Amino acid sequence: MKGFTIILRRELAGLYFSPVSWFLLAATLLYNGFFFLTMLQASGGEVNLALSAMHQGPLWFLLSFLAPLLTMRMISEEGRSGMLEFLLTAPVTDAAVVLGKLVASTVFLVVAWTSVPLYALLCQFLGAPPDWGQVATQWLGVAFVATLFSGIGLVASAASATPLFAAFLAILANLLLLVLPLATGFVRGPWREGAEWVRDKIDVQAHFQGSFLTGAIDSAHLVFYAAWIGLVVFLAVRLLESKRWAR
Amino acid sequence: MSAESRGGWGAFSRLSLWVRSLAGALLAVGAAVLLIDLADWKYWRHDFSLSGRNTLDPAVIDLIEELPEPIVIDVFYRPLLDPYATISNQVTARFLEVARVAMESNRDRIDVRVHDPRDVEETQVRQKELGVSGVNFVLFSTASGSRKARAELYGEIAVVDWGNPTFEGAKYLEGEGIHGAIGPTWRAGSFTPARLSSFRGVEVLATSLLKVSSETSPKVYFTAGSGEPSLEGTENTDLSGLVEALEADGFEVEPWDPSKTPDVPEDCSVLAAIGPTQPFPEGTLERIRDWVAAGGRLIAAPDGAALESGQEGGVGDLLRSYGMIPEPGVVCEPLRGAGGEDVEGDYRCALLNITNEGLSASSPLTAPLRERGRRLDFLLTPALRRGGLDGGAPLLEIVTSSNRAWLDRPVGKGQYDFRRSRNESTGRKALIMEAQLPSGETLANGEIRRGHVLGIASSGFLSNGLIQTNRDFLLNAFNTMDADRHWRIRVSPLPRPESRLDLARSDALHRLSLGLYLVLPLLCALTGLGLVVRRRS
Repeated sequence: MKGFTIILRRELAGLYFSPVSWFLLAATLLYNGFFFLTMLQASGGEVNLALSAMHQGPLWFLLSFLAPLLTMRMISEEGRSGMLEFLLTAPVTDAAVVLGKLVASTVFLVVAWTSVPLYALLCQFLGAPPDWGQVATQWLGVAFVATLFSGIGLVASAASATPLFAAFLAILANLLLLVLPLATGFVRGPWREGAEWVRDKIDVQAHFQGSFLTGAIDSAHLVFYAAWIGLVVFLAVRLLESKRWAR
Repeated sequence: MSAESRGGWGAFSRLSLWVRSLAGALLAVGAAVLLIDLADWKYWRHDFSLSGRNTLDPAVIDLIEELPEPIVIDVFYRPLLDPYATISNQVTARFLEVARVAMESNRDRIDVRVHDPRDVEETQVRQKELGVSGVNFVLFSTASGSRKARAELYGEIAVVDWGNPTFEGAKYLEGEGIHGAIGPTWRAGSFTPARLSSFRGVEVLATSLLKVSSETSPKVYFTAGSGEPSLEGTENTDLSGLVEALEADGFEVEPWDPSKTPDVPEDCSVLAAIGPTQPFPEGTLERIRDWVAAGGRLIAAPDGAALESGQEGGVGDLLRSYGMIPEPGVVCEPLRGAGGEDVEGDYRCALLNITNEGLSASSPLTAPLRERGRRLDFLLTPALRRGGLDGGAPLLEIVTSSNRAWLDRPVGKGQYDFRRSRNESTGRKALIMEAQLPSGETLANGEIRRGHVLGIASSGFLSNGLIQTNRDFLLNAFNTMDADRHWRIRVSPLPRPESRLDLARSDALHRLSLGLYLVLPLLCALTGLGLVVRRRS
């Protein structure tokens, strides 16, 4: 636990004391602001509709790219700079290293997305109170998605020697995760049922839209995200561990 | 000296470690999939939204819990093109929301399948499997496909005021199976957009679930053996369209030949005596009357030619016993000429389009049609005249012609001139009448199941030639007549969580733009710049 806290603090400090992170945050706020105002105007000023629409395209696009950009250096860069050897010989477990980095990245992403509940608050002050229950579940759902995408980024970072290649791999994996469920719709004949089964197991958007987006919490959807996050953490730990004997 | 002997890792050790890691990863994937499957099997769900948008009415939840077998909801839709794309998206999205909430309330009982309108092949395969056709409707069916209920997206699930469409727009809507877009107030050349008048998604869901979950399908018997139109034939005068519509709505349809089994079948929910051209076998009329007096439900429509020939022992006599006197002839209405003058002598005078004006507002059979702006069509139809009914039972004229109509008498055998002669007076002619008998069967719960008769002036009204227009009325009639099908349960609609900023008349947009585009991003950018400066110093 102590090792985890140390890694987490180190990663958070690395993120929040880096000017690049703040410029990235500024760009994210501009991106979110643009989409929120566009959605608000398109929905004729309907706040709940605009907030929900933010969690459709804009959220997934942002996280697919932002999470890999944050995590790309976390393991691969440390391997290049020699910091990893120091980490692997330090009295912290591989799981603590991965979890510390995962939570740090998630916190950064969730804070970046907290701008959306902030918009809801602004709307409340302007006289259109949003459905706060829905805002809260959407925010919680974003936390799960951010954790999953950060985990995928860490797996890519642990699997590649260079940060850029790690980012490329992670973005590809994220986009595949979003596109594959749609592609299963084109499967015909006897494979269709199998394709639908696979879709149910990988469709991260549907599990988000089926509960968090509409203001509900569903244990099946919580377990879905927990299982995938558990899987990517396990893979990242295994890949980190392999650095000990792969040299 | 080998690497292994120097304390490093040998090739074999590395290979075995990679294999172990790979096996571990595969096992982890398997465990994740298993966990996801298990979580779907037993789950907990709570609605945290303040509006309760994920929670159905308790009555509907109870209904879903008590479903005897899983129900599949197939949504077949095709988005409408502009200028109706917005309303089409609105209707579809709202129903899909209702279906989703229903499914999420009990995933074991409800399965929703939305058919991609672009995937014509898959849609056709599924429609063939279900024995239905068309677009923009929802079919509720049991997993085995034995019981079905169909609901139209436009008119039934969502009541849409189509505004004042252009002529091309109205034609396009007709092509999409949406009738009645051009109402009596239609004005050429002035377009007003469509809007959603009311949304009955939850009500239709509840009604349809009730229909498909009833243990036994109600049976409709059509009299046979006396020259009635065919139940399977595809000619304009046949009844296969009606039979298909009834079966899609969860009814079982059977013929009843009184010459073979004289008594009305015991499991008969509604008896339909439609257009026999010959008299019924002796004693049949008495047996039908006794059955109705004991609480039976009868829909009867005479054949125009049989009436004209003065035939006895047929549907005409049956209707007379309930105070509905069929009058031979053809109800005609004058056409409008180019200069606005009345035109007679044209066979089209005998094609009647009955709009709101001729539909009773107080009858549950016609009131929904009025709300949806539907019309009914009659062709070469005789009229009904009010007679006396024993016991002072109510006798209602629920569908009538306009007051410019006259009953055209034949000028030769089966020949009409479609001109009003001096002895043919104008005025409203009753085309469909309804009688509720004072007598009936006392049920176990003490309620009296009264006999109910619906008299339709012409058998052609139910035929393939007119079923497209008259389908909704007929389904409504059969459902209402079936005493055991009290589908109309009152449910509260799914709330629409709305909270609107007035962007046009307030400075909300300006303030938001300022905060979202300037203040928040600038704060972050300034912090980043501060860090750059601090690092350099």
